Amino acid sequence: MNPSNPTSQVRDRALRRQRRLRLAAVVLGTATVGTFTGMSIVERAGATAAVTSTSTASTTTVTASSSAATATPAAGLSTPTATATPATSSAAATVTGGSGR
Amino acid sequence: VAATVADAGVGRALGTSLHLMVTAPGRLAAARDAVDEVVAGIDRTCSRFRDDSEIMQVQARHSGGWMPISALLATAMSAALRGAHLSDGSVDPTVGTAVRAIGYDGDFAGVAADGRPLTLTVRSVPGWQRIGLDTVTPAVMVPAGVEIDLGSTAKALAADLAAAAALEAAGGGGVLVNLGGDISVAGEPPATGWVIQVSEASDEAITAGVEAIAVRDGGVATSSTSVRRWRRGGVTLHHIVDPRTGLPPAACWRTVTCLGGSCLDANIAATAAIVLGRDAPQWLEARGVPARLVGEDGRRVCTSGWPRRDRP
Repeated sequence: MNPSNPTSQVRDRALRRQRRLRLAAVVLGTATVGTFTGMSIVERAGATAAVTSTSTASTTTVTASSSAATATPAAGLSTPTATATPATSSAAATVTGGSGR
Repeated sequence: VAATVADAGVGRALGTSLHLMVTAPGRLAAARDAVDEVVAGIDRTCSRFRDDSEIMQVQARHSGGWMPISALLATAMSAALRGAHLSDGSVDPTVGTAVRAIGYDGDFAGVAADGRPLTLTVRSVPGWQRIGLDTVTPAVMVPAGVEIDLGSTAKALAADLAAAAALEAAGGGGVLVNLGGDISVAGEPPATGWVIQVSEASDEAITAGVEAIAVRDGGVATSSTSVRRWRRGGVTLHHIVDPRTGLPPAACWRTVTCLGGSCLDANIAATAAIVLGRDAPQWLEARGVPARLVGEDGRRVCTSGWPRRDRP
């Protein structure tokens, strides 16, 4: 860091912040650390923290604990990419139904 | 069986039926080995019915602090927590104590069909938010007194992992893995799609005229309160617990079948629907989950995207 150069100081602070955020991303188990530039922890209430990336506008929620957390995609339940159709011409190959656990 | 399905095998796994189908000729044995390995791994890792499983060992030794776990248990825990998050807590892995309290305290084959009355307390389960999971190390933190039951999501996860492993072992084509009604498909489907009969119980025989659908990707799962039932003091109980009360949910739907981008997500949606009761159709609709719900009175409700039968 060059103390006589304000621009350099700003850049150094930004780099340090970026390194911290990348480390946080690793600790949180989230992927693609490069996208976390500008990330900020916007909420940390109780056991849940929300982490947003301002650069990508993506949102990840985490189950927070004392020192580590579970990254859980905030995206909803996935649905099939292909549309299912009623079976009319073929005999069923297998059966779905309840079985318990 | 559709003509383009080359081979199929059946067996038992995770205390239920296993049905494997492949489209690549001569690759069933290799695919079956891959499925067996995945399923055995899930059983060794996630079963609450064997004392030597990793999840039982973790809970037996827990000290309230972080404990290292295998990558597979981390995956299973992550799947369970994802289910809890996406279902707003309707599918919660901390139901272990509640499930035991209502009488499901071992492999279902050992659960007495009838028995004396139980004294149960209405109380919410500890809650999935109390579990800590570090998927990088990996490690887990389970507070004292919290009993984990991965049963709801682990079987569906096993189907997804097994389908992926079977496809790789088959070297191409398409595969279908059905673990007790939790179905995952991978690869190139048969020309007709994978034709699946939708029934109350997964052990029902394939019968002409019964509703069937054709899927090409993702997964299918059914949750039902009409299987794995038992009675205590004249009251019928089943294996699905409402995390808000620690008891089986009020009777509403006896069977819910959902389609998902994976078997895991289909299972999460189906189990959540049973717990949510009357609110389930709206909840499923809002999330774009194609589903078929059958009420205790037999009425049938379908949500968006569920295949509609042609009407004459």
